[in-house]
Amino acid sequence: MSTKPEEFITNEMKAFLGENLIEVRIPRSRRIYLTVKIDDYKRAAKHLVESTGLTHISTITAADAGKDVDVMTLLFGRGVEVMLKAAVPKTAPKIPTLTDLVPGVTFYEREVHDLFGVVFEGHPNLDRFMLPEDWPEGVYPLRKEYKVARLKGPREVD
Amino acid sequence: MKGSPRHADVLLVTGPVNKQIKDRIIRIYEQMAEPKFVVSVGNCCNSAGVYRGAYNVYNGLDTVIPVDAYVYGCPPKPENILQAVAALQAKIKGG
Amino acid sequence: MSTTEIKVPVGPQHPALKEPENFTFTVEGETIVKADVRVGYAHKGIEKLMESKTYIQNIPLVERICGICNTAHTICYTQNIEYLYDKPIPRRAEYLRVVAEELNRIHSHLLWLGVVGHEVGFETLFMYVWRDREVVLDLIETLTGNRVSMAFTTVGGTRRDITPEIEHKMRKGMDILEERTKYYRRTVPADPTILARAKGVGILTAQEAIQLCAVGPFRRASTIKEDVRSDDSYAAHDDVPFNVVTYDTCDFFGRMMVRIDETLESINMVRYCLDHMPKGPIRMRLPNTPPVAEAVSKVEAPRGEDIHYVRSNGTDKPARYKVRAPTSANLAPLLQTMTSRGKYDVYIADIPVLIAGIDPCMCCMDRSVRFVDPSKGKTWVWTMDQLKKYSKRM
Repeated sequence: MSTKPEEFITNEMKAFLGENLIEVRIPRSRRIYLTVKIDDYKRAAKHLVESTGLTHISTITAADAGKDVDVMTLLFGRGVEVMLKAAVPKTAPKIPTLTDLVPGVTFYEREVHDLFGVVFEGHPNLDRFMLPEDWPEGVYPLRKEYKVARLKGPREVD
Repeated sequence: MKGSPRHADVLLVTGPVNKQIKDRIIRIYEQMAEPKFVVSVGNCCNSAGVYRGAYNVYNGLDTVIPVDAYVYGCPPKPENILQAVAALQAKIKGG
Repeated sequence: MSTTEIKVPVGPQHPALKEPENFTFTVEGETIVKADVRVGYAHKGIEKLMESKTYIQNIPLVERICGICNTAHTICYTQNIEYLYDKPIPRRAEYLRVVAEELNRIHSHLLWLGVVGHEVGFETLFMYVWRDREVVLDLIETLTGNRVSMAFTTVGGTRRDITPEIEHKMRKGMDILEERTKYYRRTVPADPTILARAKGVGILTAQEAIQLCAVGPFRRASTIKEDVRSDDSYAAHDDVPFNVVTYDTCDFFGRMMVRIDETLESINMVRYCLDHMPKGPIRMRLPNTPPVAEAVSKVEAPRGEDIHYVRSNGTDKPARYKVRAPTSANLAPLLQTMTSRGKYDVYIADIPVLIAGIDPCMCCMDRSVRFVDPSKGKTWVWTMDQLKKYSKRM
């Protein structure tokens, strides 16, 4: 039985999540976008990695979506890149870590924490990763509400 | 009047100057003995180049320390760098 | 020009210089038991900056995310925007992109091989390879007008074309590069200096490579046969044949051989493109504002899988642009190769070579490293220069 990989993966996740799968999109060949709730994020990722053959996590990133921050995990396997998206509210930006599932994502989660303020629950070390040491706490530069001030050098003439 | 060229020290800086680097550059510059010269190499060092407006990049090395010569280019060609060094040598000799 | 000494003072090591070191190694004597990394020296805020520029204005910015991998990032970017429009670009442009990309790969791998020579104290190798590197730099300049940053690709295709004169020069250049690379293929793996520093050094098992999401030659030297050009073909890679190079030694030696063999593959790919270059336009014009959509684009940069994400909001500027360069993916596995475990010991002297093994695209590789020896209650900081001197003495 030769199913195209996109169909195989989509059917697999539809069967696993049922109604909890909020949205599925196949925008082009070798790309699938899945949207889930925060509560289903970890087990959806686990199913993709352990049972569907998407063992490589390319990255974890985020985007400002108004009241929420969209957390997007990009996984690769069977020749398909799958984006698993879950929206976390800015008022309580928490989502489970995937480091116990795939240790290689440790720095991806730290970057999203630095730039968007999302807390990955269970991550062993969410210390500052890429922002300067004296960057103010609570200022997440990639959130839309922050118009980050331009750096002014000590010799700068206005 | 400047001292003999034999004692001149030149600081070549490349790349965009960000927060993490700024204090280090100032300290290095202050530790140099006079007469001293600073060459800014590349557009990023001259003016932030493509990164102008980025939240972690200064608008050029000369907003942090005084600069004597600028080498343009993104990236600068080897010939440009040599030319700048030669021009700086001439400037130093000329007093 | 007369030779005058130009001194560049870098200042004494000062404990008050509170700059965070990139790497921190916990050691027991000579053996490393734990490795940690901090990035941030090079952090500029590019992704935020991209949100305030148009899609076209962002092209030169994306090209400068990495000085060496520039073409890979630019192709990945322009492709990503084209995915938003969901329109195929002219076939000739896809072939031209492969030529540019493979020239970039040849350049990157040769540059790296020279750096390896320099790291192990094999200065002759460094000099020879960097001389040969001029051949590919000249070809890139002939094709694009620039030696390094190509400014070759744009949204909808490429900006320049290959003329018969350029094609002729390119074929000659490929012949020279092939002969030189085959020479390195013979001599480098037989050299005792290199073997002593490379064989069995920096082990990363296949399972570790998968769990830690390693990419590129780093991954392929641990047996894993994966390459974006074959697994997720883009541009003309669905047509242009090549072999995915793997080695099963799982060490630095394997990483070196993968890159040398890939250079030979790239030379053949350039020739194939020249032989089969389709006729037709090199560019299609697209409107300034793409449809509202999301897209994910991947290319195989010289350092590995490069993946970009874009979200458009109906304006001519991206709402969000994410770049995950290959070196970021290789940080976690790099730390693993630097950690003694099981019957595998890693020594302080191995550090410079191991860092070189991932072909790091970080301009912060020349900073200090910190060592902590809990059993002796000692902690100290070395510059990379000091560390390299120490490694060469061992």
